[in-house]
Amino acid sequence: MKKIFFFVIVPIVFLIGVLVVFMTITREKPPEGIKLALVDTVATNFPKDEKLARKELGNAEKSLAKLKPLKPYIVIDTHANRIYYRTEDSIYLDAVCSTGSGSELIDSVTKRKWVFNTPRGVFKIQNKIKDPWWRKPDWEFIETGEPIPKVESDRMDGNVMGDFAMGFGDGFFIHGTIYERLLGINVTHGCVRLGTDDLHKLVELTPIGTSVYIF
Amino acid sequence: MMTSARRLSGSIVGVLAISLLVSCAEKRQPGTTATSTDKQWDQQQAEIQYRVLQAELKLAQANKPYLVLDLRRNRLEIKLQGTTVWNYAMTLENTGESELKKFGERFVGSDTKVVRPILFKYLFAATGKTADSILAIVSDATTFPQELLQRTIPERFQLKWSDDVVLDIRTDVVGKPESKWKNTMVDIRQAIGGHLGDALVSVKMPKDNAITLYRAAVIGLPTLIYPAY
Repeated sequence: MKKIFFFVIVPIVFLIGVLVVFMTITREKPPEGIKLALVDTVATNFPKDEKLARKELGNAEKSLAKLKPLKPYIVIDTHANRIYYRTEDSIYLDAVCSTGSGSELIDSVTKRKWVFNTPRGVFKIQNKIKDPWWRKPDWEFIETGEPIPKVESDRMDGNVMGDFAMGFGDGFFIHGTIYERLLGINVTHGCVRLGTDDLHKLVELTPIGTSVYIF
Repeated sequence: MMTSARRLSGSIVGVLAISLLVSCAEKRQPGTTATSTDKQWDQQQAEIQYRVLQAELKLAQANKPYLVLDLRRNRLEIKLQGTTVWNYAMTLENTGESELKKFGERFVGSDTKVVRPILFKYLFAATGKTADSILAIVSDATTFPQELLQRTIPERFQLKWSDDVVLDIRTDVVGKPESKWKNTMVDIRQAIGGHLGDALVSVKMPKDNAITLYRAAVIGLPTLIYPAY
C-alpha cells in the first residue's frame, strides 16, 4: 500500500501540480483598457414566434445588405501597399502602390507638426485630373531645407504626379509617380502612388463618385 | 415470382430514396438552417444568427475596420462599414471539422458572445520585407527612418481572444524565430491546453495575405464570428 502511495499517487499528484503551475505561469495577462464585450449580444428581443422571428431576421439581413456598395469600389490596403478595384467577391484590378510613411515632421521655427499618414476610412472619388500639377505645401520646403517661396508659381511642379490624379478629399490623391522603384514601400506623405500602367487602368475603370475604402 | 421481384425492386428503390433524402439532409450547408427564407427552422440558431447580424450592424456604424471569422464559408474577412476590404478563403492546416466547430463554440461561449476583441498577437518568426541595402537608399533619399520603412513578413503568428481561442497563421516564408524558448513554451502550453478545452485553428496563408492580416490585426480589433451552424 505504501509502495503504491509513493510510486504511483505521489508522482501523479506531483505531475498535476507541475502542470497547474506551468499553465498558471504561462498564462498571459490581457492588456488593460480593452473591453471584453464590445457589443451587448446577450440581451436581444428576438421574437419567440417563428413567423415574427423570420421577419426580424430578414430585416436584419436587409439592413446589412444595404450597407454594401452596389457598384465596384476601390480598396487601399496601407498594410501591404496594394490597391484593388473590386466588388464583394471579384477583384478587377490588383496593383502595388505606395502609401503614407507614418513619419513626423516638425518645423523647428514655427513648431508646426505634420504626420504623413494616408487617411483611413471611407471616401469618394471627387475628381479626375489629367496631367496634374503639384502645388508644393510648406512641409516640402521644410523637409528639404529650402526657404518657403513667396511667389505661388514657385510652388508648382508639373513633373511628379504622373499622367492622372484622382482626388478623394482633404487634398489627398491617387496619382502616378516618377519613383516607380519605391512602389510597395510606405514612402509617401499621405497620397497614394501608382505605377503608370496601373494608374491608366484604374482611371479608366473608376467613375467619379466611386467609394474608396482605406484601411 | 414476378410479384416478389417487383416487391424487392420496390423496396430497393424505397431504401435508396430514403438514404438519398437522409444524405441530402446531412449535406445541408451549415448556417443555412437559420436564414429568413429557409424552410427548416431552428429557433436557437436563428437567435444566434440574429445576434451576429445585429452585432455586425453596430460594428459597421463605426468608421473603423473589424475582422470577421466566417466559419460558414471558411472565410476570413476585414470589413469597413459592412463592406469587405480584404478576404481570404481559409486553407486549414492540421485542423479538422471538429476543431473548427470547437473553435466556433468556444468563441461564442455559453453567453453567446459573437464579438470579441483581439487580446494577444504573438509573432513566432518573421523576416524583413525589404532588403537592408534598398532601405538604406530609400531612407537617405526620402529622409524617412529605416525602421518606419521596414515591414515584417511573418512566417508564423497567432491571434488570440479571451477564453483561449487561438487562430494560428502559417506562411511559406522562412524567417528568424523571435525567441526559440518562448515559442516552445507557447507550443507546449497550447498542446496541453488543447486537451483542457482550449480552441486552436491553424491556417495556411500566402505571404501577401499574411502581411495584411498581421498588420491590420491590432490588439483590440473587434472580431465578429459567424459560427458554422
